Amino acid sequence: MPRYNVEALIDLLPSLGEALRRRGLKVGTGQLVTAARILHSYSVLVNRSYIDEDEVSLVLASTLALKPQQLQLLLNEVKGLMVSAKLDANARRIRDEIDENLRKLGLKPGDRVVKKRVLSGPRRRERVAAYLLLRKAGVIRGPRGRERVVGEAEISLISKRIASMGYESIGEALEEAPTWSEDDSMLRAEAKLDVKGDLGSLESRRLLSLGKAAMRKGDSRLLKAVAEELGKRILRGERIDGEEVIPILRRAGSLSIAHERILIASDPALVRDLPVGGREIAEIASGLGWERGGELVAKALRIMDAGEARRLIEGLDPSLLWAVRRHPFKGVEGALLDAATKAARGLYEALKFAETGEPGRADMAKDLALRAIEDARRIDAAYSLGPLSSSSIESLASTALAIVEALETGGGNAEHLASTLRRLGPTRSLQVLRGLYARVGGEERELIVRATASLLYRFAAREGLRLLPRNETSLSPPGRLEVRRTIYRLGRLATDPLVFRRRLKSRRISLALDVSGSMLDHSMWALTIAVLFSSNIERLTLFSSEPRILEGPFTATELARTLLSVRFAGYTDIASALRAAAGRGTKRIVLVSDLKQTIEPGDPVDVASQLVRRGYKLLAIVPPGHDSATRTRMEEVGALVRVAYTPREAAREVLRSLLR
Amino acid sequence: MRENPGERDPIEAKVHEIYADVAKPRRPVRDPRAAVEVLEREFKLIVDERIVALTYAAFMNGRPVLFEGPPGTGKTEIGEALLELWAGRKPFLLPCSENYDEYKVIGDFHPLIAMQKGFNEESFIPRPLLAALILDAGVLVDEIRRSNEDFQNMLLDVVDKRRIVVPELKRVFHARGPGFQVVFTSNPEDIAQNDLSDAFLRRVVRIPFTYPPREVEARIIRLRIEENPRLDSNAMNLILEAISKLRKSGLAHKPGTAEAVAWARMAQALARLRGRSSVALQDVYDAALSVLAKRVEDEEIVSSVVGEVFHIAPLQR
Repeated sequence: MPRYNVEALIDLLPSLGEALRRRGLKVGTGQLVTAARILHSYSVLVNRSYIDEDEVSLVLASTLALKPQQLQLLLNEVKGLMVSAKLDANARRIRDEIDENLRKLGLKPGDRVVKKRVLSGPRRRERVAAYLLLRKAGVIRGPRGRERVVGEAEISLISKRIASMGYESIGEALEEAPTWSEDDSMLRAEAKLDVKGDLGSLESRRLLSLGKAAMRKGDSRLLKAVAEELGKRILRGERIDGEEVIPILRRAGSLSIAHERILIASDPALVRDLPVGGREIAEIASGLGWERGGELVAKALRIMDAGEARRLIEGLDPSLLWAVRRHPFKGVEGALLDAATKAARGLYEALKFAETGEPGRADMAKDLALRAIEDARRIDAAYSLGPLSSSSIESLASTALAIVEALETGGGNAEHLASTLRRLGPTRSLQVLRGLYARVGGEERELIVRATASLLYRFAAREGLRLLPRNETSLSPPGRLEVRRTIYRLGRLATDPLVFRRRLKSRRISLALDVSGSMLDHSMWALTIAVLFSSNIERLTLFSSEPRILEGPFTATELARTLLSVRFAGYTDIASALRAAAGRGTKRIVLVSDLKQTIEPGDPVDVASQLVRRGYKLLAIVPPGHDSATRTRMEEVGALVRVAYTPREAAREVLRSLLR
Repeated sequence: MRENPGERDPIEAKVHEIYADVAKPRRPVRDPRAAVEVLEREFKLIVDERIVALTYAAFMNGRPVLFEGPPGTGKTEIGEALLELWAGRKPFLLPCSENYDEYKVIGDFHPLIAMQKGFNEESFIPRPLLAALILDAGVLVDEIRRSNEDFQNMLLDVVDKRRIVVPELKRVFHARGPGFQVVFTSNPEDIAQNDLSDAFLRRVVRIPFTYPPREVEARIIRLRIEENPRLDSNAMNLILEAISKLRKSGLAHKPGTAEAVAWARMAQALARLRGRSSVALQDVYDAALSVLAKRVEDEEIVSSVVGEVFHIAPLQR
């Protein structure tokens, strides 16, 4: 049964009287007064501010001297009046609200909306709120840049429409449909209406334009919030246009070395925009590896002045110079660099030959190396540019020649090769070793396998990777008493002489290595992880389009042999690989992949989520250029994803997951 | 006006002397919900709370109330009870008739005393309306349609202004409190009665009375009959069924709740006379005609309707 507010009912008694008179009933003003008074008393007596419909008819019929057959008429009038009175009041309120908001923006019905003008100035926050409200309500309309306030009549219509939907204010109406578009979110964020809540939901592209807007307007608070969010995304490995993001981060003062490193790593061209000196670039390039590092160095040298370029060369492995085309050096220095570039390029081609076996590359390598030696010999040995001198260039070029020779003859002079490899560093050495492994046979292969294993252990030692299982000593239990050191300490009268030794054991893992074509650049990762943690690997799954499962336990040489023979090629089916990796035994899976599933159907995230639900611990180690969407989804279902930039970082992540 | 405040006004003294016993005081009940309970408990009346609230609301605004409805719906009883609860005093009852006038309700002069002492306070005899005003009690004007229009207007003037002018005494009596209220009752279906003027209807709060719903009527009957001999629900249903059928029939005098109660009580009396511990259907049937047929021409209708309900041929007399 409908209810009526007594006060509202009393308010509309005059209109009711009029309506009843129009219908031919004699209703006097005195009666209406009586009716009002009795209505009021009635509500006091029943102790309610509202009365039901039948009470309305009882009270009004009794005071207005209506006959029973006129009752329905009365009730209809009351109903109509109540509804329209409420509607009118609401429409009026909404109309006032619209006018108020228009006033805030300094707009009149029919005005053109110049956003720049309307949204700037003092009380900006209020203005933006008003603008958003009006646009959402349809009072401001039109395509962006040509928005207008609708006319007077239209505003009335809008007010009535909103009121007729039962709302008492625009705010209430809009709250029920809070579908803010991205543009609105941006504007809200810009106006600081809800910065924290909105920024996270914005696409990076939007964040960038928001950041730019913040810079333009000198809004430091917003800028900081945007920069913070962008910085977080960069560190998470999301690809963000460096040229755009750098000025924002810089202006907000939140551009860190970590950001620079990642940004430059993803786009060497950024070297132009970043304030990084030659030394930092040298460092970053070394971390990036040969291919990308070389590109970075080449780009840096193209734009740097001689002083900065010298600092770069000073801290650089000369083999990274392979891609250089232009540089700021002149005279002898220029000649040195040109020669070094030729030598490095020769080495590059030699290693490509090791990898691909293309004879053209061998010829190119030999040619470049020989020309480099020729050029270097023409330069006075007294001159140098950082590590570059005629002798260092010669040695670089001869390394290239040695590699080509070793590959072409199948081993060649082993001693010579060993010293050559030592100069190359682990990544490129592995490349050579893999090339050799493909070309030699029989016993020589075993030599290469052992060389590979020892190379990797040397690498681990140099990088400070303390492998497992290992012993650990401490001055407190648990553990077995380390007698020798305790006696030694007793002799030194140490206050705490007892030394304990315990064996740090480690977990076993099921390792899934992505050996598809896209992981070729990171082949070193696979080799490093597999060989270094061979004793911890219970099951090895090598996968591209199809998984190949090897059951452990393994020795380092076994795994080195396996990995040296693997060809990085083909499509990727991570989903089935994960399924294969989750066999019996350990519940800890380490996946090394760029997460780019290229075989349909198959969603690695589905499998990952199933595994996590079944109690598996899934760690994915991914290179910087990974598929970030898959990564985010993987994280959402409970897998741990870590971005590694170098084989060392990749190995560290595995080690961390192995520790108890 | 009283010249000496210490001395009691002779008219008031007379009112108290004459009417104190009639208008016995009690504790007023002015909360509608509480009133509904008291009405049921003490007065054996079942009244809709909305009607109580509306009546009280009219009282709060000094408006007279008109209870209008068919006979036997409890108008008079409810009006009396409500006035009593509101004022905290038994109300005065003015049963209207054609020649009712102000002398009969306000006061007149004792002819003998007036001859001796003149038309003054000594010879003045206060009548119920004035007494109610002075005692702050309610007045129930029963069957207002039977009175003439002059009388109605006089009453409305009194109620409106809440004062009574006695020109002979050159005195104006004002209402003492909120207790002085007026309830009119009327039966619009009653033939041979005057119509109420528009002016009158405009100034009263008119509350329509109808026959109560069946379950309420059953409650009322139960409330008003004796405990023994027992009236079982079957008998009760037959009574209600017959009553409701009679109300729809062409009966001149339609039975109200009062008739239903009377019928039930008559059936009980018959049962008691016949030495039964509970009312038999025969008792109900036998009581019907005497209670329900008020006129000769009604008898046939009553007996056929009741017979139909009891599934037997019309009563043979």
